[in-house]
Amino acid sequence: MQKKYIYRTAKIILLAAMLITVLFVLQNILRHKSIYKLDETPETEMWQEFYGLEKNSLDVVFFGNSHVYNGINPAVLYGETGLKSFDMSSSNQDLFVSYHLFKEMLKTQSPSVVVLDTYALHLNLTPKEESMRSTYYKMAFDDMKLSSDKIEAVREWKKEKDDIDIVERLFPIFEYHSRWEELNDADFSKDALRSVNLGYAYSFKTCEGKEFKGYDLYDEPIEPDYKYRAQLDKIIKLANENNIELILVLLPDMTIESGTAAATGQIADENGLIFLDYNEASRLNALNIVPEKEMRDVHHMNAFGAVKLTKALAKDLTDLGVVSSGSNAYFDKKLSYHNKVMLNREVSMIEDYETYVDTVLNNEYIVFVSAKEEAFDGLTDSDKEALMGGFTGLDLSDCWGRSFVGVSGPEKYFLNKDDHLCRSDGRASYTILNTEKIDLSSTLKDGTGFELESIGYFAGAESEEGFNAEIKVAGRDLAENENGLNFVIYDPLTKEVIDWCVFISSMEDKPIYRSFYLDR
Amino acid sequence: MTFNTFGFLGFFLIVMLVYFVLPGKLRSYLAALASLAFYALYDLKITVFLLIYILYVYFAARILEKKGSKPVFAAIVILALVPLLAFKYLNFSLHIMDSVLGRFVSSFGTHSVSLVVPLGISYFTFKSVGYLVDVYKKDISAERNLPVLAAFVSFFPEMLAGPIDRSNNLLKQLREKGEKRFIDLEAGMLLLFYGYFEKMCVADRLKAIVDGVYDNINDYNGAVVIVAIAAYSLEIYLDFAGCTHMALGVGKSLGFDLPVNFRQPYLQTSVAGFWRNWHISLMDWLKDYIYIPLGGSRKGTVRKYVNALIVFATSGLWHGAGLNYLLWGTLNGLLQIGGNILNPFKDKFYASLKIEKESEGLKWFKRLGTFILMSCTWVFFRAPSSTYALTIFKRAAMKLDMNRLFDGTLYTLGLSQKSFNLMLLFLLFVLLFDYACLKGFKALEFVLRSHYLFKCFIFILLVAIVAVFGIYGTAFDASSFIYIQY
Repeated sequence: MQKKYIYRTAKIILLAAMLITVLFVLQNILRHKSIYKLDETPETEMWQEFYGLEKNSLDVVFFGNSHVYNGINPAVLYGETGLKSFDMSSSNQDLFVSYHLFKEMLKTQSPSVVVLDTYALHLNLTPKEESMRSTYYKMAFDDMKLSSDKIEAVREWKKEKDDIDIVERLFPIFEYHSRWEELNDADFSKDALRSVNLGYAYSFKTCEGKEFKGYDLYDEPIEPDYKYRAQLDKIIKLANENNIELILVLLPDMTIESGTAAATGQIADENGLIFLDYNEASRLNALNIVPEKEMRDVHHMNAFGAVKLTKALAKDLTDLGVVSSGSNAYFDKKLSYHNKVMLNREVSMIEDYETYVDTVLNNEYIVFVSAKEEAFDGLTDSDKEALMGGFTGLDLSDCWGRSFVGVSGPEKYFLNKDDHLCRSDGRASYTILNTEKIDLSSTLKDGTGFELESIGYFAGAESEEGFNAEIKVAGRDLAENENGLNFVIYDPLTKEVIDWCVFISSMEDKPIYRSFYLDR
Repeated sequence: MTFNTFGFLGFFLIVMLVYFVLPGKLRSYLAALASLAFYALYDLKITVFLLIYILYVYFAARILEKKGSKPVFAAIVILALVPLLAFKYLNFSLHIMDSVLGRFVSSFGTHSVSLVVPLGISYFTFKSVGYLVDVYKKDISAERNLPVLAAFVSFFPEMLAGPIDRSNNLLKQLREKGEKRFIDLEAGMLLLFYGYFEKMCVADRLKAIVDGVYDNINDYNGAVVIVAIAAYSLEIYLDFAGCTHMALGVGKSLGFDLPVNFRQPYLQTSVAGFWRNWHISLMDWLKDYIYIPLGGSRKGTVRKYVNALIVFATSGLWHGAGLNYLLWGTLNGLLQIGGNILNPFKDKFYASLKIEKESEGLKWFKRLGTFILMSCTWVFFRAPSSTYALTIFKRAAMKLDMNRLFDGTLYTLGLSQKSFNLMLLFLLFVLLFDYACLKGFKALEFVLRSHYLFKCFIFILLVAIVAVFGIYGTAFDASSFIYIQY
């Protein structure tokens, strides 16, 4: 009898385990993902990367809203100081969320410093923003691992806002199940989360026509709402209990009033905390922010502004005696990644042909080139040499009126078995220079397919199809298809096409120049 | 707390855990306690009413057993029906009185009473009256164990949408010492989740289309309205059958076999066949406690038809206090009588055309005819009034406009294209499944007899389909089972 009972119990447990596994897999596929590249909120990426971090590897952790994930770049901080940090920020993160994220962070990390953006201390939400609060909470908590702390957070949240279902919050499949209709690659592929940057989110948007002065003198302190104050007190207590130095900051935002900063300063004084206000005129002047180039909008830095801000913060932290606990290979990789992302941005702004060719051929990019019409007429010998350096065996001494396609980049990114590729010195390149129309299609090691087509002067002269210089990457024609040398640059590290342009090189009497098109 | 809520699942899980811990002989007590707790979670005040009703039935049956005179029996049954009549039909009666007297006395005004109709009142009243009749007829002895009777009257799986159980079934099982069987749990879980599938994956999708058209009838005509009429026939079937499967599943998990309520009604070849296989527990109850006592078919053809009309009119009024329900019931009675009268002519007609009576082609033709007739009668059931039902018919006949079936209009009725297509796929599955069952395929037995891993696969597949494709969540009204209101 007992044997039978054990056997049946085992069967039920096995079934339950299989069922939970299936539901868990489905939940991971179906739940909404907050991916910065897709919807400008990085919470899913933040949690995924956070849970993958080496235990107790962080020196500094940042909490706050989008000011933080757009303004403080941990890779830059690492490059400047060696401090290993992480942005545990989320969209419109208020202090309630910060507190619970802080608690979750403590389960695996023991930083010496926590930096808290206190913008949320003076939240003054419109009814519409207030009604959106649960949406921001969902983004912040949905990807957090299920634990007693999460249950506690959701229960407190439910007490405050009754528009949520606790079961749905703890098991997001029950809310997001109807997403089966809108699933996309990002829901199945981990590649969607490939650009994780220690919680930081790159933005290259710019804010036009604004002046950012900051404030000189503090006004009368504006008392924060008691509820927010109580939440800050809980955070201060949590930091104290864990021997963590809590630093309060106000990151640059054109809309912050000095009275709110004054109140934060007062709280910092009362609790013996450091308060760094980057809106205060002297600090802001030292930063020398140029809003039209370095701010995403009136509230946020863009990637260039973030570099400046993070460097300033790095200096302040160093001055405060915060020291790194040593280097780390993961952070080294993140720093390289950051440098590449910034270089990618610079590439798209290079106007000089030789600088462009030199940069894209020597920085681990895959370079696709397709010539159209009499693309070589306007090239000088040094222009030709610049290009020939990147393509083994390319001889442009007799190239008048010819079709030309080229693919070049480090050998490790090409499929070895591809007979078309000839290699030397670690650089793989594929070039065809022909008087006929050229079609080329192949696939890189990361699975990115490409197709190139060139119709030079001779090949196209009698063609009904007209002249063409297609460069299709992953099925999309990105070439400008203009007369000259059409380039598409693919970065295998970020797996992004980082630039596409044409250097007009078909005019004998005019030097080669980069043409910019509005519709990029 | 309906079956398709997390609250119910939590409640059921607790009941199941207690059930498997308790000795089998206590399962009736657990059933009573769980049923009252279920009702209390719904409404504490009305639970008091339910308790009083149970006590009434308990003592009334004891009295009937001792003094089984006709007047006493009549009084007891009428008194047992009073709450149902009061809660469900008082306002309907007042409304009729207002409209009749209002014609003669201009200052008569309108009258109504605000009442909260107890959950499942139609079900437990009919169940109780059936039990009292059985005791009176000495088919069964009056129950002496109050918790057993309480469990019988208020058995929670049957409270939401039936089936209307009988003393010779559930009460008998409650009196027996239960044996806990693992296979009952397996069968129960499969039935429960198949019910969820019918209700949440199919019926609730159909509901979106039906509501989209019925609620905005002036925006549609012709083919689209016809689609909505057909969709409602399928919606009400899958909604009700789904709820019944859930009830059967919950009951089976606790070791109780509840009566089957549906046997592929839309695959029957006549209206009479439809009604033999639709809401079987209600139709059996009406047959045993109204049709046969009225004389059934024993008192001549005319009386037989009159009796049938009475039964169907009662069925209509049981479903709802409204003229449209009465009309719906009567219409179904007339269809059945018409079918009976026409049967010999139909047979001659088929014979003259040399059509084999048992040919599959003719059967499908008859099935289609039955479905169309039933769909037309359901219009009166779904429409808020008889006038509205007539408007629906008018709009359906206005301009056929078949193009609207293919120009994307169907995807604007409340379901996206993907969701609509998925619904069609599910409907095809249900049709094939029902057809297989009609041909003798015993799906549940087949799965239960199969290897453990196959059983797990089927169960997990069902749960996953319901979890992903079911219509539920914060934005969805989980209390929208059609048959809960009766």
